[in-house]
Amino acid sequence: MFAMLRRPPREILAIDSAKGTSLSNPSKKHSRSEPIGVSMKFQYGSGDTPLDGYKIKRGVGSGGFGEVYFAESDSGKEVALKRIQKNLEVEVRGVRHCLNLRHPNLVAIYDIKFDKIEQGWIVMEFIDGDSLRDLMDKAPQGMHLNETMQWFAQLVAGVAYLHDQGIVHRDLKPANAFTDGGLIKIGDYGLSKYISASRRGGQTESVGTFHYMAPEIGKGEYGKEIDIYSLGIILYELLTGNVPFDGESSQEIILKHLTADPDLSQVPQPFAYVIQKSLAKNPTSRFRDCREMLSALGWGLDASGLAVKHTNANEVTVPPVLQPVRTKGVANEIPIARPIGSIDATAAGAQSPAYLDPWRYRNSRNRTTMGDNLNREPVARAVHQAVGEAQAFYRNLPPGGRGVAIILSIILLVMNSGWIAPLMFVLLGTYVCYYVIWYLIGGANKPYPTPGAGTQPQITRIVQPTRSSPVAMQPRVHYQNVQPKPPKPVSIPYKVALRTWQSETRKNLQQQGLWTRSHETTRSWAFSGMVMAVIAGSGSMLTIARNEGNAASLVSGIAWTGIMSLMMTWTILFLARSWESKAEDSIVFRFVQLTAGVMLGVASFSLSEFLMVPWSEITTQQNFLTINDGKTLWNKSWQGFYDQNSMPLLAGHIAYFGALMWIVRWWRQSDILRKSRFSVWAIAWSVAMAALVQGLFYFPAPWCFLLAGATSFSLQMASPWMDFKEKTQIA
Amino acid sequence: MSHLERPLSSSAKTIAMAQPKILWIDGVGSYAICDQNEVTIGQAFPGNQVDLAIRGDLSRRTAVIRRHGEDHLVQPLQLVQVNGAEIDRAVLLCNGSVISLGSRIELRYVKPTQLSGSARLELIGHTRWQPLLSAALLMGESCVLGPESNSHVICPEWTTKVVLFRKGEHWMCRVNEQANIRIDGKPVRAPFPLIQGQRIRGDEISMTLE
Repeated sequence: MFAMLRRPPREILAIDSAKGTSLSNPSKKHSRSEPIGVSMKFQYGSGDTPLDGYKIKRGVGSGGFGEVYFAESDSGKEVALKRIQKNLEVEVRGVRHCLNLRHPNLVAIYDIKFDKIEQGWIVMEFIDGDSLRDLMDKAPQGMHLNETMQWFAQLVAGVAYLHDQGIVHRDLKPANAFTDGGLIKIGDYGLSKYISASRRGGQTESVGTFHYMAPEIGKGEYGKEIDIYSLGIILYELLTGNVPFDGESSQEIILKHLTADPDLSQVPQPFAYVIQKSLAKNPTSRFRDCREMLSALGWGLDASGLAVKHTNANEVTVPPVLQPVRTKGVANEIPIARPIGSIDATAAGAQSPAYLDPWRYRNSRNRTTMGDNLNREPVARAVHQAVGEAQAFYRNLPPGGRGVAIILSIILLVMNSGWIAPLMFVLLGTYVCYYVIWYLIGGANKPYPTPGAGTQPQITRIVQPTRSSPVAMQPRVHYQNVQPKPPKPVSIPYKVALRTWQSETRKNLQQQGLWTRSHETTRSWAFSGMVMAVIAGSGSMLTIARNEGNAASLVSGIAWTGIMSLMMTWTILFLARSWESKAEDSIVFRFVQLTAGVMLGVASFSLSEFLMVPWSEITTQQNFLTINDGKTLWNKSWQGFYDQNSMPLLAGHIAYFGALMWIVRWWRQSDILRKSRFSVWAIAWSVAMAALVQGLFYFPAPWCFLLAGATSFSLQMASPWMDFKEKTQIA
Repeated sequence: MSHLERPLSSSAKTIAMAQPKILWIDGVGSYAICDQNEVTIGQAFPGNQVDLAIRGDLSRRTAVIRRHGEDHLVQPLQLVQVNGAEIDRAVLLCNGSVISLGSRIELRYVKPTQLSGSARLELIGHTRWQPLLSAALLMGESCVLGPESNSHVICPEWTTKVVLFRKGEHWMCRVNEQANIRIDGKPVRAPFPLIQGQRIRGDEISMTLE
């Protein structure tokens, strides 16, 4: 749905820093979500009348979304005026949808007005009370249970009303709830929620926003479950004084949202149960609506939608604490095609049959999950994809072409069976070992995006509205029942969309600090090391098994391949991480890779000397892609490059590695924004390029091919990745 | 109950009434500047001439707060309690004193520092000032607006502080050079007079005395 950005991101990305205090008196310190020591710039001062009929008294809060003022109408009505500075049209539409909502636990919106210069203003109730954030800051150890319920029940009642109206708040946080006497009023509904990763106007990044964000927001899911999740976080914070998932950086917080379980050791029942269920990673495992959540706490809603305590609340039976079924990856269980605004009818009180029988529900979910397990494994997925692509390619050939393709494939296979068969054997064995390890370290249980998961730009990208998708032009509120059928999105060529996404995201990546980058690099290094160790280890074992123990020379070759692949992978990872936010400049990048290749050549020569690799013993006599001129192979005739056995000397190593590093655009395989997580074609291409280089500078086969293939394999495995299709859902 | 005739000073008469001086501080709140020696507190209704009006169930004129050097005394005109005890004569207020007016209205007297005779009067609970105020400032010789908790007006997002001090009939502002204060767009050097209607803006400070 998010096909492209609707406007350049710099413009629309707003740090909603002061949003939280928009309606209240922000005269307290805000430990979260409010930048401190930041100037508040207000365009209008006391006495100004930008909007006819209202006299501004003072600024209340400001941020990327606009400024909020306290004002009085000519007749003396006190109001809050919010000036919409961004996305006027979208915001006005969103707010207009909420104009006539009426609930004691919502900040009332009175009107939308335009001034002489066509600026939009939201006229709303002014609340001169502390926000829930302020109250929490006064109670750093958490509030008393009764006080907690007094506020929390009202909060849930307000959200329940919003959900009943088909609106998902999407930015529930303590700073968005204001106390007015004994009442809680929720503000900022109907406004689009932009969360920024960029620094803007000198303001600090609004990290706080992430504390209340449900994990599936990273997938662009905006069901009412995200509000339930935020409510769970708020309940936890009310009771303990801390948010359950905190961290030094937004990445860390997001990662915890995705993976960590809340520490409920200090939380009494039934609160612990309610929090645990609300914070389930899988949205469908949470409470299905606010009423269910309230009743689990012994509260309910009366006929007018106000929170009331059940008369027999003391006897509320606490449901058995279910361990939330660990999701087998959030990604595969959420129907991705689900429309943005879809809220099922349960919000209105109707019960979805699937929920009535928990066992049936669970079983049906498990069924879908189990089959996906293999698909979640990146290599299997890539092979599957590659086979599919090959089939598509074959089907698109004209009938004559198909025959030629088959014959060519057979000839190639037969000619090269000498090295393909053992290679396939090794690869298969490696894969089995890899899969076992992957499964054991919990790969199947990890939320889907692997090493790069939870990086900040990922989230950033998702919450941006789209440029051309008509869905994004709808009000930023979610319709229920009356949801109009979204017009068919203007189709954008996949490649164009991919390129645009890549360049937009790359800009955002620029915002990432050095720390993130090195952190990712380090993680990738460790991971690639593991992959190489598995490949080399299983390769050696297979070789030893095949040759019945008489394989010392082969093992040294394997060791050489493994170590050199690892070094190449690390080098490329290092380069790619430092280039990830730069626009691609092939000539420069290739040159840098060439330089690195020369150094790798030196390393390779030293290593083969150190390991005393008996190249001539372990070289197959395949003359792949080389031209035989009768006497010596011309690619071996470089003066001083090879010894009398045609085995490479230092210059040969340097030439081969330099050329290999120069010819393949390795950084693309490690790019976080590459097209697919793992591409078999990329490996094939790397091996083919290795063969081409071998045609120029001889290097013992099959080691040179194995080197390229293993490097490509581990490089892709170890590089973080952001899924364009999942981010944009245009596939 | 004693119904003392309130001795009004002439200066209080001229400034006070209906429209107290209000300092509107952007991002912080609104504060009544009560710099007269006697401040009358009473019910808010049209035409009632009190210095500080509260919307609630209390008498037209319930109490007078009188400045006495660096201290403040509360003089009951109607039913007034201080820290729960009904009073029938002027009582000295100290930091944290709670003044109950009528049956339901409670005010807290906050004197954040002994270095200044200024104090802050806050409403507790659901009642409110008319016009809407964050608090009333009972002005001594000087008053501090700043981020520290012992400021008279706490401005958490500021990094510098503003000191208001008396100079004859006027209030002056003293503020750090780095605050880049401009009045009506023109840079000024501190100290400068606080004049009604002028918008004072700095890098982080933004306020107007109405």
